[in-house]
Amino acid sequence: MEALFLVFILIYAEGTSSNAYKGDETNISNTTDLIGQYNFSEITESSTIPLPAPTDTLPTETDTSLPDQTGQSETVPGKGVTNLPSTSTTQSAPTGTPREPRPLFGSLPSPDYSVSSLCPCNVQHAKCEVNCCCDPDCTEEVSLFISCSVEKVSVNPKLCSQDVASYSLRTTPEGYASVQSSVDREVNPDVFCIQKANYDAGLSYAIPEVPTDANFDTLFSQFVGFFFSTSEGSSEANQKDEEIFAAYHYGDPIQTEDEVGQRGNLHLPASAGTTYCLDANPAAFLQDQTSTCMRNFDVVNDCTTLDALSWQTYSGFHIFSEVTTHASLVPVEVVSIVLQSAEGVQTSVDPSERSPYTPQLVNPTGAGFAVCNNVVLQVKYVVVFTDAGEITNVTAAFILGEVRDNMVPIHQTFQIEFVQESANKPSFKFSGNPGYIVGLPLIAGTKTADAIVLGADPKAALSVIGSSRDQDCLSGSIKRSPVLFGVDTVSGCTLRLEDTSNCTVLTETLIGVLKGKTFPDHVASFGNTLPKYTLDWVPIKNQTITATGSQECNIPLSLHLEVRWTKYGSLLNPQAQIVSVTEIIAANTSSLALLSSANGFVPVTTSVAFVDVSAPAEPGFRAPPTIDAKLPFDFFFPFV
Amino acid sequence: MAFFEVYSHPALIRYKTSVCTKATLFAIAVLCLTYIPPLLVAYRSQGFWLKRSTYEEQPVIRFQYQMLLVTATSSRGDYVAWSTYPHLNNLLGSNLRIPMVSAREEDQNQDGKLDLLNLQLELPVSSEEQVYSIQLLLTFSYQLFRMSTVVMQTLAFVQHSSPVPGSQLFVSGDLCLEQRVPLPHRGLHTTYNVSVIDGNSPFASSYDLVNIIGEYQKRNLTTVFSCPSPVWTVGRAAEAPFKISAVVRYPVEVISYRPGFWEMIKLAWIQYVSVLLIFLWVFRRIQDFVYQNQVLPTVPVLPFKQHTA
Repeated sequence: MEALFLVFILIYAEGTSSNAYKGDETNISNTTDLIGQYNFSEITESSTIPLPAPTDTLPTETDTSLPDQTGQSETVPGKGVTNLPSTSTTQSAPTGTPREPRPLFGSLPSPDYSVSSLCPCNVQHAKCEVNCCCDPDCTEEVSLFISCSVEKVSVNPKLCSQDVASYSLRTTPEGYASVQSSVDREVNPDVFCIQKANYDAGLSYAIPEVPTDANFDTLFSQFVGFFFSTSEGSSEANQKDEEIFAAYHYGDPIQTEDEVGQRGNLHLPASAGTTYCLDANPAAFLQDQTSTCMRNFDVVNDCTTLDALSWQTYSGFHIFSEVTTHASLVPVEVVSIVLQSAEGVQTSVDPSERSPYTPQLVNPTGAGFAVCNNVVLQVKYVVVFTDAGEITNVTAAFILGEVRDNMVPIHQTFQIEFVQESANKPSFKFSGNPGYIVGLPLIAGTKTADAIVLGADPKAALSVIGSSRDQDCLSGSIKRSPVLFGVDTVSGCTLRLEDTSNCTVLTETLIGVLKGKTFPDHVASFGNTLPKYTLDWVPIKNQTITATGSQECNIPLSLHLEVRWTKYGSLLNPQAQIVSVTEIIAANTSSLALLSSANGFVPVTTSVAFVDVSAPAEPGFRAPPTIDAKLPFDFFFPFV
Repeated sequence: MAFFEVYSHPALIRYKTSVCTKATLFAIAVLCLTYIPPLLVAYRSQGFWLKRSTYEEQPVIRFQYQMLLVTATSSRGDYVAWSTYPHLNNLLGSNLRIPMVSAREEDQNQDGKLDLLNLQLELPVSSEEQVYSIQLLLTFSYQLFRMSTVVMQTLAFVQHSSPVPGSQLFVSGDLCLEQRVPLPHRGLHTTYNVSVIDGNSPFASSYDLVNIIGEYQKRNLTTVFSCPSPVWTVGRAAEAPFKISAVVRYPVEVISYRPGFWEMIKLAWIQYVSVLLIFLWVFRRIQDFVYQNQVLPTVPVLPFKQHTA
């Protein structure tokens, strides 16, 4: 009798845990009905609340020793002392037992763990579940069942001996199905089953705190809050206390105030996830950045109404010189406006006359010819700051373009640059200090009598043909991309042979296309070579490959720049030094007609190759004599 | 009268010699040849020092309830997006589309470690819009305990696009660990225990998928959502939302690590001794032959006492 009591205690203890039905899943695995099993596991999961399932009756502990209330089985589980099957009955008309009301406020009901009253598939109150053989609400519907979704119910499969309620369908002589239920005492064949549990708390979860009048406030504060996260995740998501400084710090958003007096941030539209412009992206203090993003709009409807197209949007505000509210306001000064035609021709206009340069819709009637003028294509801010992190001056430069119907969506480029007030404007940016850094442009210039003269854009002094849409070498709008140190490049355009009427003119034009407008003759040997030290500059050697035969027209078809560089300095931190630059221009060696394919196109290419000519490093000290018979380096691997 | 063996025992015969003899030289040579060659044999046959080994562990994974969703809603490239990051949602402006998300993590075998994540996402889509592509980013916290303790935050990236607009995307797969360099055999590693997406940043660049994935893939330890067969369901009613249902399983991982000193010594010792036993046997036979037959002159000391009487 003591063992029986222990079993009961175990059942009770296990039942309070949320995985009370876990054993049922394993026991029920012989169920062939997959749907039933799935439903069952769902039910199991839904019953993980600490309260018992609503179908459970609310007996006290002594109730379990009473005959089962559901009337499914006449077997009394507590009296299944023998291991023999108990009496089994055929369920003909179970009497629906009245359910007890919901648990009272402030107390948890003691759950019922007699297996005959557990029915995990019974999820509807006072309604019969199809194929749920243990549902006491099923009366005549039983004859419609074809199988039992739950065939066995047990409480804890780890126990050596326990009650198991089993349900099966039987066909009556009249051809109808009827449920046969029985409660048996099953012996667990497992060697490591639990014979006797003397620590009940070890088998169950802690009993949750039930809200009462006394503890409601503490519980509420514990669980209050609306978040979609794990409890661990929410703790780390708490915001850091933002320290308020007067001056801007690196990475701070720049505060602005618009005409209405509304505070905001200086916006530098950028893209995230897609290429569309996200207009609200704040610009960060002291972070020079360039962002190019896409703007899609309807030319006819949005030209004059869309704010993002108008340059006033990007300059019609004041900037706070400091973070604090009483800081002075700095206006955004428009220093240049460049108008760009649809073909890419740029004309500079006087920025003081601002009014004419708002977006204007031209030809709104023509379906294919709607043109929006003065659309912002590029914005460049230059922010001047002091050592104290105070903004003293902000200038904006715009490129406004003519946008046709077929040109949308357009690219908009936004650039912000921070310039220190006290510093002298540097003549050019180094490409390394001292050696070149991979990925930075080669510095090139033209030699005069006493110094090297750098071009207007020293970053793109040495350039190759960039990729362009129309691929036509003679279109005049070929983009160029700078030669970057260490990056081998090839690119090109096509030449139509119909244009090869005037050979000399064509040759000159193509040289210009290959070399660019201003081709320098010297390249800085180090990334930080100053223009005044002319000896540190490497001349660009010229090499032209032309046809040997007497061709009537020799036109240059390719430009190859070979940059030889070497490593300089210590072994651990070698610096890249350019030792020679050779420009190889190759003209056609056979007749143009042979070169071109049937459609008359000849490819014109530019390429850059970087060749490492450094000699192998030599040790700077006399090496001591060594014994050649060496053990492999990892012979004593873990010891050394 | 038959004899039988009533008892037996080995007799020890000692062979003695002075220092400067051939026998001494032979003894030293045999000693060297017995103990050094097994080391060379064990080493040259590869795998003497165990430098990389593996173990199995089911990681402790928790869904961080942070996600980022980008959806293309027209073939022209219009899009809607949503994230659990308020800064990004502010940036998105009119392209923000808030879905209904339900997530549930299950511990199926009740071992205290979660086994899978069920994620349902219903994205409301207007009747003019069609869904062509989905990019979904989920973040997880990932912990390993068995050898070295690893605590990190990882990503699962689901990307699917189709030329035909769809109504539902179903993905079910494993969150697999990718490892470039083996882990050490002990210690605590929290290098990657930083948010993969900086949710406190107001800048758009922090939420750019190129930046996020680019930074993430630089790491030694990453997770990849491996879903070999995503199911794209075609055909959506005008008012119906686009549904994403994802099942992310947290499988048992095979993790490679660098064994510790004693594990290395243990395995090397076994290899050395196993080869050494052969050498010992061979040289014992050789020595038996050499000394018993007096190939090298030595003085044998017999164990039996000489009866001098």
